[in-house]
Formats: sequence, C-alpha cells, structure tokens
Amino acid sequence: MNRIPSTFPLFPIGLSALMMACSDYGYNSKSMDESAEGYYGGDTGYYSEPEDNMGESDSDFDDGLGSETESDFMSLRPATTNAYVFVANPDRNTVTRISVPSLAVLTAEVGVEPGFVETSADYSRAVTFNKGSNSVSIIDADSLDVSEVDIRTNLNQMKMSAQGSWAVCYHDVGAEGGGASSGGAISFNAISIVDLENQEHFEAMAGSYPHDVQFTEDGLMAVVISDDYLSAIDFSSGEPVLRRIAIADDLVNPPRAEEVLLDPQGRYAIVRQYGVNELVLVDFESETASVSMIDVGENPTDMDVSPDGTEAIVVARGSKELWVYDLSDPTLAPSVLPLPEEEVFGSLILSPDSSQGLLYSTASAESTMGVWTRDADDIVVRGLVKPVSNIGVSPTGETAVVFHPRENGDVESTSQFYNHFALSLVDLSDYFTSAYQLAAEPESFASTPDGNIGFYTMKDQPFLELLDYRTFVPSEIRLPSNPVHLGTLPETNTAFVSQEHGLGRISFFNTDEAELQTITGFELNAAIEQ
Amino acid sequence: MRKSLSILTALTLLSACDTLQYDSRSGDLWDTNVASANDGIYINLPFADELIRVNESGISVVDLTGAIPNRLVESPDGSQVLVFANWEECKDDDSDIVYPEDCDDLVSNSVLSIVSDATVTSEVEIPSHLNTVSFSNDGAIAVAYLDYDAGGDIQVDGFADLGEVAFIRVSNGSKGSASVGFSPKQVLFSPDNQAVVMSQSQVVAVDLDTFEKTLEAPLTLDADQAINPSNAELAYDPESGVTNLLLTVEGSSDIYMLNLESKYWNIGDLGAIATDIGVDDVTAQSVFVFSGSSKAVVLDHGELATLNASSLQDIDLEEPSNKALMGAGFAMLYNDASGAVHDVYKLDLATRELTEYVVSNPVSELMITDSGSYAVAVVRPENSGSSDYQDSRYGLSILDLSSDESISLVAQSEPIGVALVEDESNSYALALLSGSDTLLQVNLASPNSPAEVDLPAPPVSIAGMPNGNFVITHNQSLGMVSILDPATLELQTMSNFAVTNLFEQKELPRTESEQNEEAE
Repeated sequence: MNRIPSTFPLFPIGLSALMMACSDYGYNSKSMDESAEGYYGGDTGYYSEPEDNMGESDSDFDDGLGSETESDFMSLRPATTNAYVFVANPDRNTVTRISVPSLAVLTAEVGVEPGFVETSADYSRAVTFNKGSNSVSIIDADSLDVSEVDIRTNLNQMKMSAQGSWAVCYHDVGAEGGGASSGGAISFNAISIVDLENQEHFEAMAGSYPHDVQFTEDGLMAVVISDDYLSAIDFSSGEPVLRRIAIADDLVNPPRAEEVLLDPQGRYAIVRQYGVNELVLVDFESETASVSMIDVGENPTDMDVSPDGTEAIVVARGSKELWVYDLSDPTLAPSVLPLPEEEVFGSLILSPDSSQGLLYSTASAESTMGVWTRDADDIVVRGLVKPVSNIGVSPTGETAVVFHPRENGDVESTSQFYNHFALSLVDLSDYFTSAYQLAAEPESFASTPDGNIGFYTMKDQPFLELLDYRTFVPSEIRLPSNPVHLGTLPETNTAFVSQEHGLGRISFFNTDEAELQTITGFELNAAIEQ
Repeated sequence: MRKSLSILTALTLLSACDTLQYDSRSGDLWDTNVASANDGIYINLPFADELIRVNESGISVVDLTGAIPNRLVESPDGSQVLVFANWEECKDDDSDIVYPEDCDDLVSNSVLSIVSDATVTSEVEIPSHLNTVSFSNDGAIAVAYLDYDAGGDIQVDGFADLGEVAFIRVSNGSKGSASVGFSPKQVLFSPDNQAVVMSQSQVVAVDLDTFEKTLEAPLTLDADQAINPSNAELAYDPESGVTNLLLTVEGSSDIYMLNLESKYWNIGDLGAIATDIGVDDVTAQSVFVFSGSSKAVVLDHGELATLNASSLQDIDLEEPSNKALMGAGFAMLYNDASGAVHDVYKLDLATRELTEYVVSNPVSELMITDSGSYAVAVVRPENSGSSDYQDSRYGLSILDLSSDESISLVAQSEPIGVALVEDESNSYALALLSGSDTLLQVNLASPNSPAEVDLPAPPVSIAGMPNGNFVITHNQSLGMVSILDPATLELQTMSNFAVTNLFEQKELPRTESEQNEEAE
C-alpha cells in the first residue's frame, strides 16, 4: 500500500479575524487526570472507548470485547525543573501559578473557560486553551504577562511542543465537551496552529475526526492523528507546512487509529488500528512519506514503548501474543512471545527499568493480571479482587497499583468489593497483594518523585489519599473541600490538590513534613488594584 | 442621668433677660461628652451654640467664627481638639437679613475646626455626614468617615459620596479624600504609614503622606455579592516583618488575611462566625471568639501565607465568649451579650493555659490594668429575675490574674463609670455609681474597704486625660466638671460654665463670599 501525500503551505490568520461569539459547553474531564505525575511515559497515547469500534469499520478482527481502555493518568510528562506549576481555573477564567518551593501563589486572567494549561519544558511559558473564547493565552511564567491569540471555533483540545514554540488545537469528538461555535457550517477536522513565539495563528485541515497530536523531540514536527490520515506538520521553515498521509484503504469508513508511536526524531510513525492485524508504518524520511504495513498478531489492542525507547511492544489480544519490535528499524522481524492461552490480556505496562511488564485487560471483565518477567520471558498470572480498570507501576518499579471499577465482572456478590470501586497494591518482588475498598471513583493519581508515596483523590471526597509503596499501609488527609486536581511539585515530595472553592483553594502536602498547608482565596489576588 | 433643661427653667432664665424675642430653643445647656486636652476641658454648649474651654484659669470661649459645634474629638496626644461644626449661610443677599430666622433660603455648611489653646488653628470643609474619626498611630492624621453603625441622623447636603473618607493633617489642616466604596466600616493604620479602610466588599489602603489610594482589594469576585466586614485588625509577624490584615465578615466563618507587603489574600475557616478579634504582638498571635460556639481560635501570625493544622488552633471553653480583651501575652475572654454566661477566661497565648474565672453576674464590661495584674469586670443583674440579692444587683468582679482568684463586690447602684489606675505599688479601680455623690477608689489587692471621695454632685462619666488625671462630668444643668488627681485623690471642680453667652442672639455668621475670601 503506497499513498501519495499532499503538501501545501498554510496561511496566517489575523489575530482578530476569528473573534467569534462563544457558547457554553462542558469541561473535559477524563476519568483520570492528565497532569498527574509519577509514572513513566511508556504508552503510545490515544485509546478510544470500546463502543467507538463496534461499527462498520474496515477491520480484520473483532473478538467482541472492544478496545482496551487506558486512562492517560499513568503516562504523564515528568516535571524536570523547579520553577512553577500552573493550574487552570475554568470557572474563573484564570490560571494559577505556584512557585516552587516557596508555594507563593499568583493568578492571572486568561481567556474564557481555560480548559487546561500546558507548560514548556523549561517552565518559561504556559499556555491555556480557552474553550469559551476560542483562544489560547500565552503566559510568561515569570512576569505572568498574558497574550491572547484567537483560534478557530469549535475546537476542544490543544497540544503544545515541549519547547513551547507551537501549539496545535483540534476538535476531538471523543472528548467531552464541544468547542464554542456561533453556528453555521461546522468542521470537525479543521485545526488551528499557533506560533507561540510570534503569537500568530494558522489554519489547516487535518484528516477526519482528529483525536491526538504528537510532537517530535525537537518540536519541529507534529503529527495530527485521524483515522483516515496522519497530518504531518513541518515547522522547520518557521511557518507550518502540512502534508496529509492516508493510512487507511477505506477513507470513507476507516478503522480507528487507536495508537500512534511517533519516532522522537520524526523519522517514522507506527499506527495501530482497531481490529486490523497489521501495523501501519509511515516513513517520513522519504519525499513522499511512504506508507507500508508490518506484521502483527491478531487484534492488536495495545502498543507500548520500552522506557529506554529501543523497543515497541504490541499486545495481540486475539492471537494471545506479545510482539516486540526493534525501533532502530521497525521493519526487522519482531520477536513473538505467546501469552497464557486461558487468559485474556489486551494491555501492557512496563516497569520503569523495563525488567517487568504487567498484562491485564480492561475489556475482559476478568479479575486477573499477568506479571511478565522479561529476562526469563516468564508470565505469572495473579488473581485480583475485581476486574481491572487501570494499572500503573510505582516510579521505582517495585509496586503495581491496580485500579478496579465498580462493575463486578466475574466477582461474586458476596465479595467485600462487590459494587465498590477498589484499588490493589501488588509487590512485584513477591506478588504480595493488598486490596482496598474505595468510597468513590478515583479521579487523580500522582506519586512523589522518590517513588515512596502515591497519592490519589476520589470524586466528591474531601480527602487526599496516601499509598505507602513500602508498607502498603494507606492513610488519608482531610482536605478543606472536595478535590479537583492533583499533582506533585517538581523535585519535591509535595503533592498539591486544587479544590472546589469560589475564590480558589489549593492545598500542599509534603510527605517529609506530613503537614497539609492550604491557600484559599488567591483568585482575589488577580482583582487587586495597586 | 443627664437632665434636660426644662421648659420652665428655660422660661425662667429667659425672663431674666431684656429680650422680647421668643426663644424656641430646647435641650441641654452643655454636652457631657467633653474633650480633654492638655490645656483644659473643651465643652460644647448646644444651647448657646458655643464651644468653651474650661481650666484652672477660667472659661475661654473659642471663636469658631459663627460655626456651631456639634461634636468634639481630642487628638491622641491632647494637643488639639477637632470640632465638627456647621455654619448657616443665607443665600438671599438682602443686607437687611441679619438673623438666621429672617432668611428664607438658609443652607448649612459643614466644617471641621482644629482647635488648640482655645483658638482655631485651621478649618477644613468636610461633608456633614462624616460621623466617625480615627487617628493615625502618631496622631498626625485624622480620618473621618461615615459609619452607619455609629447611629444618628445622616445629614446630606446636595449629593454626597457616602464612601468618601476624609484625611486631615492635624498640624496644618490640609485635607485629602478618597472614595473607598460603600459603607466604610473601620480604619486601621499600618506601620508603613497607610490607612487601611474596610468597606462593603473591599479593602482600600491610602498612603497617609499623599492621601492617594495604594491598594483596592475586593473581597469577592461577584459584583452582586455583598461581603460586609465585621471586624478587622492588623497582625504583625516579627519574623518576616510582614503585616497582615485580619478580617472577619458578617455571617461567615471565614477569616480573610491580606499580606500587605505581597498583596496576597489567604482565607481560613474559623469553624464559626467570629464576633471579636484580639491581636497580641508579644506572642504574634491573634484570638478569635464566637458568641455561638464555646471555643476560641488562636491564629499564629507566622503561618498566614499557607494555613496548616497548627495555624488555627481551637481552644475549648465551657461557655461561649463573644469578646476578647488583650493583655501582654494573654487574652481575657468574656461574654457581654448573654445574660446566662458567668465565665471569664484568661488564655495564656504562650502556653495555651486556660484559666477560668466564674464571676457573680453577667459581665457588661471588662478592663485590664496596664501591668496586666488585674482585670475588673463590671457586672449587671441576672436576666432571670432572681430574687437572690447578689444576682439582682450590679457589681464589680476583681480578677487577680497572678493568683487566679476573684472577688465579686455588690454595688449599691449601677456603675456608670469605672477607670483603672496604678501607681508603683498598687492597682486601683475608680468607680462612679449612679446617683451617688461619692467616687470609690478600690484597691484591687484589698477591695473590701474602698476609699471614698466626696463629689460635689452626682457624676455622669469619668474619662482619662492626657496628663494622667481623670475628668468627671456631673449631672448639673449649669455645668460641672471635676478633675481628679488619682495620686492624691484631690478634686478640682469647675461649674456654671454652661450659661456662657446663653442669651446672646447669633447673627448670620458669614457669607459665602466671606468664606471664599477666608479660603484665599
């Protein structure tokens, strides 16, 4: 399969040209918070909901279980410098800057309904995506000076390059909340590209229903992922140049492009499509961006990158196999490891040192997990108290954190965990497991950088829950109000929890000092006139 | 009890005069709310529309150039007296109009006269509705504003900005003003020479050198929401050198804290609606009390940027206190609102040790001696209608803060004025009782045998003077004040000053053009 990409330049749009009336729409809240920290970035990205794939797509295999579900909270950017943490406050049209380690809190006014905020890797710049005003606000991290750039209407997602130079905004129909639109013709594949240095806006058309954007390591290339096309944006000339690359034969009803692995250097991308028993390899180095197919087992449902970036591992749920690719040349023949025949494993997460992998399924409703010891290629199956909704590995790789849904799957009604959310800690050295019944659904999760303590918050529960990865003894700290957002401050053992409060509330908990410190009312600071 | 000049008395006095005009004036001849300055006692004569000074050398009439004094406020150092006054102006320029009653187009102008040594040193035009004055820490600046809670009629001429606050430099009468929003409530003075004004839904800071606003800090982001401050104090943290504004608001358990250096807000939860704040600079802590909750909350000034579990510490009380009176390093907590609470607490802020005193009757007022050795409570009869002798009477309760003992004394009548004074070896309460011609000097160490000082007439009030003496006003229609030397208990009485210029008919004092000329 060879497809010819189309290449064309983009044209800047005047900053005021896209000023549109805004309409109200919901805030995008995934089941786990995207900015929680503490787990390495081994997953390749986007997962769709199972029902998205049950239609009439051009797929090869369907076992009836649908896609595996993997929340993004396990795979967040590590915080690398000690400067600032930014928190968006969509209800108040502000963004809060927390200085580290002083914990000084300042707020700045941004556009309407800032759904989320991204920071550049050097923390010199923060950018909010303002769903209510169809704009992005570019914030100088030190001075808190804010510049606002208008973007297209009807967008609801934003991704920024690590360098903070470019941002791409798009409409993900799978995300909660639509973008603001004044009506008329609505496009779901038009995207906005923002030059954050020069505060310039560009428009372009990506493939149908884009659902993710990835940047290369140097930030000079971005890939917009749609089911029918990959749209590669080249920033190297100083202006974005986009070329669309078809990745499906059936462009009318393509299979869902569930995961894309973009080479950090931008040489190639590997696309895993739902129900397709091949992977799509897009070679960006060739002038025509050639597309070819590489073999994989039946019904690949997960694709992870090893922590050292040398391998891609695909779980073929249908054929019960692990396929391991050498990323120095993905076309080389992969090694294939059979999975236990009696189990259904569709997802994989690797330990930070890559020595172990945890196999599970969020689709099978079975209360088991597999521990894959990579040296011996040995897989031990362990029973769990409930089916799995998500699994993470502590930063040290010594403990698995298993989240269980309220749904019971194969659990007996006599179980203490029946009809309850639950969480299990698994010691990966001896597989000792401890399970905890939860009062509500976990919403945010983070770990201290030293890997000793995990934090999570639950929906409408005014507590910061602590997990001691060494002792497995849980504890909780009462919060002044219900949590909204949880994260950890860079280079400290301090968690921060923003909470529900009309004037802004954030609490800090340092595990060394074991003391909760709370700041309330900082939203008023932005209204002070001097 | 003050007595009004009766009609009969007035007619009798008028009959002694050779005037044929009917005098329709009524009211007191003198205002017992006197101002004690270094050079004498300043007294407003509302019947005569005069201001006089009374001292050892006699009576001096202060020439206010026709203005009629309303209210007197002495400066903190006693060097000056601020006189709120009005002068009437006839807009009809007919030269035949001499007296106010002849003018059909009469308007009133408000001024603030600054008086020293019985002479007006400067005069400042000031809106008539400003009814409350605060002085800066050094006494150099007077801040006048409208406090709705101060009571009295609000006089507005034409249009008025009720949020205007006037700043007057007492030394030369120069004036500035700032609009601080609706219903200014309280003015505090920070160490960096700023006035911090609490008003509805915002806090405003004004530089006392330039009278310019330096800060406007809202208490809400919702323009439709009214946040009314209930109490405010400034809290200094010696470690950081930062001064924080502590502010409670009506109907809320929130404590708003504004760092006046960084201009950051922080808000804590006191767990109940606070009724009073006490600030202790010795331990750098504040105390909050609650009429609806049997607890006190101690706030550490060093922990205000971020609050943690130890920043706000609850202290359980047996009964609720609604007032906090601060000593050096301790707080006296009491309840002057409830008729059922008899507890007074001493809270040591360094150790958190709580000492409970049970006084005989409900507390009306509590005072602490300067040394902090004693507290004296004025107590009132029980509300319950008890027939118990002590329960049904007023009294004093003396709390020995060193030995934690207390003694309750029954008073023959209601204490109408109590002042505390100390010498090198003893602490005393000077007490005036309603209807009694005797001042009682109670040695707080041995209160059972008070010394008695005969007064020339029943007293009305007692107040301290800048020189350490006390001024006692008496219930005498023609005027009587006494100056008490607390060291010798000698009394110097001056009387009959209220008839000064009593029958002098006032002409229209000045015209607008004259006023303008004066201003030039």
